[in-house]
Amino acid sequence: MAVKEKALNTLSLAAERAAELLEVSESAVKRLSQKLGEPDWLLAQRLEAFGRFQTLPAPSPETDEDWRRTKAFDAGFFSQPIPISELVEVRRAEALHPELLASELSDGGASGLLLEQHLVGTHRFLTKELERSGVILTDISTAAREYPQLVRKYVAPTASDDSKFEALCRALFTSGVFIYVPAGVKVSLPIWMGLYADADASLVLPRSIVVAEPGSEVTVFEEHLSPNGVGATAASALHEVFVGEDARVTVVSLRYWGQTVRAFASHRFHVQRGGRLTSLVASLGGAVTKAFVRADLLGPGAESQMFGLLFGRAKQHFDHTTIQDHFAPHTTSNLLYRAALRDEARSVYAGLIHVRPEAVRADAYQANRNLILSKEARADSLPKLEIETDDVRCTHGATVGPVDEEQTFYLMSRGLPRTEAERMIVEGFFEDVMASAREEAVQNSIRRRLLKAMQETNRE
Amino acid sequence: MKTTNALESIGTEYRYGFRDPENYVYKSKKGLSHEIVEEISWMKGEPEWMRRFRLKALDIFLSKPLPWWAARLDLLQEIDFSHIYYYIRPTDKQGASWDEVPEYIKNTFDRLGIPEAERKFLAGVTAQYESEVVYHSIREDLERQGVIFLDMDSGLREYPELVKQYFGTVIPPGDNKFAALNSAVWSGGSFIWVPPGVRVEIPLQAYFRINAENMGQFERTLIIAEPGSFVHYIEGCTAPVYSTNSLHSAVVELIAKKGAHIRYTTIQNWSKNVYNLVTKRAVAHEDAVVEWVDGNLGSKLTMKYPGVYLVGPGARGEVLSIAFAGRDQTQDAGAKMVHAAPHTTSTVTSKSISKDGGRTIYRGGVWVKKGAEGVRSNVRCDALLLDPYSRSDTYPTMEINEQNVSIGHEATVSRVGEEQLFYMMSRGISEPEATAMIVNGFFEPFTKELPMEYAVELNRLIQLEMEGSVG
Repeated sequence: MAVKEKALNTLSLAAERAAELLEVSESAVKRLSQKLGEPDWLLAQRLEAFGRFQTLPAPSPETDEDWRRTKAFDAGFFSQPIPISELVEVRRAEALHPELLASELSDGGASGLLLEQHLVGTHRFLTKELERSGVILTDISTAAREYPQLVRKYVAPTASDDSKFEALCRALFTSGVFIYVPAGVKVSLPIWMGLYADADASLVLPRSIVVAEPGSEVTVFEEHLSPNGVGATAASALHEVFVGEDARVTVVSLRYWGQTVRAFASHRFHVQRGGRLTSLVASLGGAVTKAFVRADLLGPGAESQMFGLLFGRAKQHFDHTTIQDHFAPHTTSNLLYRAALRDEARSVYAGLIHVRPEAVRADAYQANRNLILSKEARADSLPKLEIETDDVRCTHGATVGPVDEEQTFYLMSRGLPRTEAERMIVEGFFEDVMASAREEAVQNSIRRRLLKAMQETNRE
Repeated sequence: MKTTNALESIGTEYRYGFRDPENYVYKSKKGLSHEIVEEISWMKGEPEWMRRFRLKALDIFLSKPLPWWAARLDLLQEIDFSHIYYYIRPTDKQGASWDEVPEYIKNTFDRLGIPEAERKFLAGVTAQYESEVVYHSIREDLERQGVIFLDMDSGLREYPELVKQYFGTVIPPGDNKFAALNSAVWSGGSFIWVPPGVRVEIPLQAYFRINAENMGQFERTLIIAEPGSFVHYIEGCTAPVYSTNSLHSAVVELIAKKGAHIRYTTIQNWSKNVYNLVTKRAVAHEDAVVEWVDGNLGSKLTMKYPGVYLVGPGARGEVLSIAFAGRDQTQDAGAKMVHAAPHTTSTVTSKSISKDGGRTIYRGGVWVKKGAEGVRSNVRCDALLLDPYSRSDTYPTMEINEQNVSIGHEATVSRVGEEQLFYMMSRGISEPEATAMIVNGFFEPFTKELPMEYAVELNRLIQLEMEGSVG
C-alpha cells in the first residue's frame, strides 16, 4: 500500500487525530473506503470512478478551450498526498479552529451544521425537529451505510461530462456531506457546512450532495477554508444539488483557500419541473481557482438564479465557467457574476446559455461585470449563447471597467481615506450578488470574509 | 408559428444561378503542388520574391491543420483540396474599355442587373471574371488625383516596390490555413493606393464571379490609404449554382495611415455550395478610421471575422455586419478588435437571421493590450430566429489588460415579436408583409450605411425572396 507518513506531529493539533497520507492510487481508494466503514457498493462506485479518472486525460491548455487561459493544473496536481482518517466526532464545536467558527451561524443561527477540520475531527448538529421530520445531515459514508437505498439514487460513480478532477473526487472524496430534505419539509434556518483543510501539503477532495425532495425548501451554506502557510495545497471539490419538483433551494458556496492552493471546483445543479434554485458562488483566496458551475433545467417551469462574487488580489487567478442549460419548455435562468480585481489578479469568465430545441419559451439572461482596481489587473470575459429554437428570449452582457473616479473623489471629499473609499465601492459593487444569499447571517459571513480578503497584505 | 410561412423561401433558392458555358484560355491542372504554384507564378511573370512568397506559403498551408475551433469542422473536412482548379485565365488581354470586354461576360453582368447608369457612376469597374481581371477602367479624375486602382496582378507588375513593401504585412501567410492557401495561389483582387490628403469621393467597386465547376477563387486585395486620405471600396459577389463545392478564400489587407479613413463594404451572395473562408484585416494608425460594412448572404459555410488592429493613439475601428442563414447554411462571422494604443475606440454591430434550420454564429474578440489606456469598445449582437429548427450562437471573447477602459458587450436572441405582428396586422397589413417589414427593419441599421444602389440591390434581393413565398 502506498502510505506516506509525514511529519505532522510538528503541529500541536496533530496529536488529536492521526491522519494518514495516501497517494492517488487504487489501493488508496480501498484503504479509504475501509477506514470510513463504507458498504461494498460504495467502494465499487469509488473504484469505477477511479478507473474513469485513470482513463480521462489531464487538461490540455493547447487543445481544450476550457483550459486555454488557466495552465496551472498539470500532472503534479494529482501527485500530492491525500489525508484520510476515521471520522472522529468532536463533541464541542469550540475544539475547532476559530476561523472555521467565525460566523454567527455557530451561535444558534443554523438549523443544522456539519463542520470538519482535517487534523481535529468533525462536529455535527441538527435540530431535533428536523431530525424528526426526516431531514438527514451527515457524511456520505455514514449516509451510505444507514440509508443505502436513498443514497444510491444520488451518489453516481460518473457523469458523462466528468473531467479528470470530478472523477478523482468521486473516487477519493474524504470529506463528504449528504443533506436530504424530505418532500414538503421547509427548513427555516440555513444548514451550514464548513471544512477547514489544515493537513499540510495535501490534496483535499470535498464532496457534497444536497437533495431537496418535491415541495421542500432549504438554504445551504458551504464554506471551504484553509490556512495560509500550512495546510492544503490543492483541492478538487464536487458539489451536487438535486432540486425536486416545486422545491426551493438556495446554495451558497464560499471558498477561501490559503494563498498557495490550486483549487478545482465543480458545481452541478439539477432542477426538476417547477423547482427553483438560487446559487451564489463566492471565490476568495487561493493561488489559482478553476470552477465549473452548471445548472440543468430539466423540467417545465424550472428556474435557476446564479450569482458569482470574486475578489482577487496579488497574483490570484480565477477562472469560472458557467452553463445555463435549458432542456425543457418554459424554463428561466438568470445569471450575474461579478469580479473585482486588484494588484495583478486576473479573472477569466466564460458563460454559456444553451437553449435546446425542446426548450421553447425559454427565458435566459447572463451578465458578467468586472471591476478593475489596478493597472496590472486583468479580466477576460467570454459570454456565449447557443440557441436552438426560436421562441425564446435570451440576452447576455459583459462589461469591464475601472472604479468611477467621481465616486472615489466624492467619498474622499467626505474625509474617507482612499483605501476605505475603495472598500466601500467594492462592497457596493457586490451588494446585489450578496443579497442573493438571502439569510442575513450568511451574508454577514461572506461580508466578513470578503473584508478579510481585501485587508490581506501582498506578502507571498 | 404561421408567420414563418411568409419567409419560407428566403435563401432556399438561388435566383442568379445561371451559368455560362465554360470558355477559357488557360486552366491549370486540378490540385495543389509546388509545380502548380511555380506555374502560376511563371504564367504571371512575377518577380522572384513573389515566387518564393508563394512557395513558402504553400509549405505553411500544407503543414497547418484546419482550425480546431471551427463550429463546422465537419464541413471543412469535406473540402478536397486536390480536386480544385487553382488558376484559370479567361482571356489573355485586359479590356481597356467596355467595348473590348467579351460579350458573354457582359451578358453575365446584364443578367445580374447592373444598370448601365450604375456602371458609369461607379469610378472604376474591376470585374473579376474567373481568376483574372478582364475589364478595367479608371475614371480620369481618379488618375488626376494620383490614385492607383488596379487589379492585384497589374499592381504587382506596375508598382512592384509599393506592393513588396506592404503585401502580406497585415495578414502574413502563417496567420491561418486559408490565408496561407491564398498566399500560395492568389490571383486577381484589387490594389489601391491613395496619395496623402486625397479624398476619393466616389466608391471604388469590383464585381467578382466564380464560373467554373470545382474552381477556387483566391483574390487578394491590398488598400493603402496615405495620411489624411479617404477611400470607400465596395466588393460585391454573386456566383452561379453548381452541383459540387466551390472554394472562395480571399485575403484583404487594409492600411490606414495617420488620419486616413477607409470604408470597405461587402455584399456577398454566394450560391449555396460555396465555401467562403476569408481573412480580412486592417491596420489603423494614429487617428485613422477603418470601417467594415459586411453583408453575408448565401454560401454553404462562411467563416469571416474582419479585424482592425488599432496601433495608433485615437484610432477607431468599426464593424457593421448582417448575416442570413437558410437551409444547410452556416454563417460563422464576427469581428476582431485589437486595441494596441491608448484612446482607441471600436464598435461592433452584428445582426443575424436564421431560418429553415440555418445556423448563424457571431464569433468575435476585443483585446486591450497593456498600455492601451482610455480604450472604449462596444459590441452589440442581435439575432432573429424565424423558426424552431434554426440556430443562433454567440461566441465573444474579451481580454482586457488595462485598467482605465470601458468595454461592453451585449447580445440578444429572439424571434419576430407576436405583439409587433399583431399590431401591424390590426392595421390591415397582411402577415407576410408585416413579417417582411420587421425583417427589413431589423436589417435597417446595415442597409442605411450602404450606397444607394447597393441598398436597392439588397432590398430587391430580400423582396424577391419574400414575394416568391407570398405568391
